[in-house]
Amino acid sequence: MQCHEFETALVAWVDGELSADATRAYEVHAASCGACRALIAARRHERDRWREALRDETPTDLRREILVGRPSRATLRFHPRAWVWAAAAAVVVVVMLIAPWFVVDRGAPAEPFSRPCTLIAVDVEEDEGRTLVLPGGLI
Amino acid sequence: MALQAIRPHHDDRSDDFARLVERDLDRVWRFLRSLLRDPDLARDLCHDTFLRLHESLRRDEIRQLDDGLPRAAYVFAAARNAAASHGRRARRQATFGLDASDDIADAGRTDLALVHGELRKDLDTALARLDEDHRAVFLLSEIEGLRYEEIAEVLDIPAGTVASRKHHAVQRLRRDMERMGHAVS
Ligand SMILES: [Zn+2]
Repeated sequence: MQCHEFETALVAWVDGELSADATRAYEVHAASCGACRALIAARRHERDRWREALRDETPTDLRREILVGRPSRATLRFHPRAWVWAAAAAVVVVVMLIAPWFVVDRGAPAEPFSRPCTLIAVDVEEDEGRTLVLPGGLI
Repeated sequence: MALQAIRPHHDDRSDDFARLVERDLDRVWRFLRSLLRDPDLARDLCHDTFLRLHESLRRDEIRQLDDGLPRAAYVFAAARNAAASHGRRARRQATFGLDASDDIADAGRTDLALVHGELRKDLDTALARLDEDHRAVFLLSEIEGLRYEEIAEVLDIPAGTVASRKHHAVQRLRRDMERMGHAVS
C-alpha cells in the first residue's frame, strides 16, 4: 500500500468501516510508516474535537413538553391548503346567512333557511406531516 | 385546525415511549439542530419526530430491539422525514408567496457562539457551506456514531455513497476550518 492510498481511505478506516482485508493492509502499512500513523492520530483528534464542539445541550423544557404534550408550532402553522378550506368555509357561512334575504317570498322562506344555521366545526388539518415514510426494509 | 400533542397514553407502550425519549431525544435534537441550523425549527421538528414515533409505537408498527425500543436508524429516519416534510411545506409556502425565510434563518447562532465559543461558531459556519446531503451523512457518522450501513438506511442511499460523502465532507470541513484558523495540531 502507498501513502496516498492510505490517505484516501483514512476516514473510513478511523470509522471502522473497511473490510477485514483492507484493514489488515492498513495495519501493515501503518506499522512501517510514521507519516501515516501521524495522519491517523490527527484524524482521531479532529473527530474528537468536532464531536465535543457540536455536543449540544437539549433545551431543558423540550423533554417535558414532548412527554407531557404540547402542540408543535410546526403543525400549528397555517398552511396554504388550510387557507383554501377556510375561505371555502367562510363563503358557505356567508351564503347561508344572506340566502334568506334573496328568497322571493319573504313571508315563507324555504327550508332550511327559515331556521338559524349553526356551523359546528371545520377541522382543517395538514395531513402530509403525519405521513411516516421510511426506506424499504427498515422496519 | 387540529391541535397535535403527544399525550401520554395509559397503555402498555407509554413506558416504552418515555424510555425512547430518554434514550434518543438528545441525539435527535443535536442532529436536527446542526442539520437545519435553526434551533426553533429543530425544536418543532423534535416534536414532529416524536409524535411520529409515538404513533408508530402505539400502532405496533416498529420492529423493536430486545429492550422494546426501535433501532437508532429508525429513529433518525423519522427525524429525517420530519425535516423533509417541513422542507416540502416551506417550498410550497414560498410558491404561495408566503415568507418561508424565517424557517432557514440562522436564528440563535449568536447565542450559540457565546455559549460554545469560536470553534463551535466556525464549525457551524463550515457545516453551513456543506450541502444538506453531505451534512446529514457527516452528522450521523461523525457526531452520532452510526455505522455507514445504518446511515444508508436512514437516508435511503447506498453505503458506498455514504462513505464517499463522509470522506468529502471531512475534507471540505477541514479545509474551511483551517482557513478559519483551526488547523489540526
Ligand atoms: Zn504512509
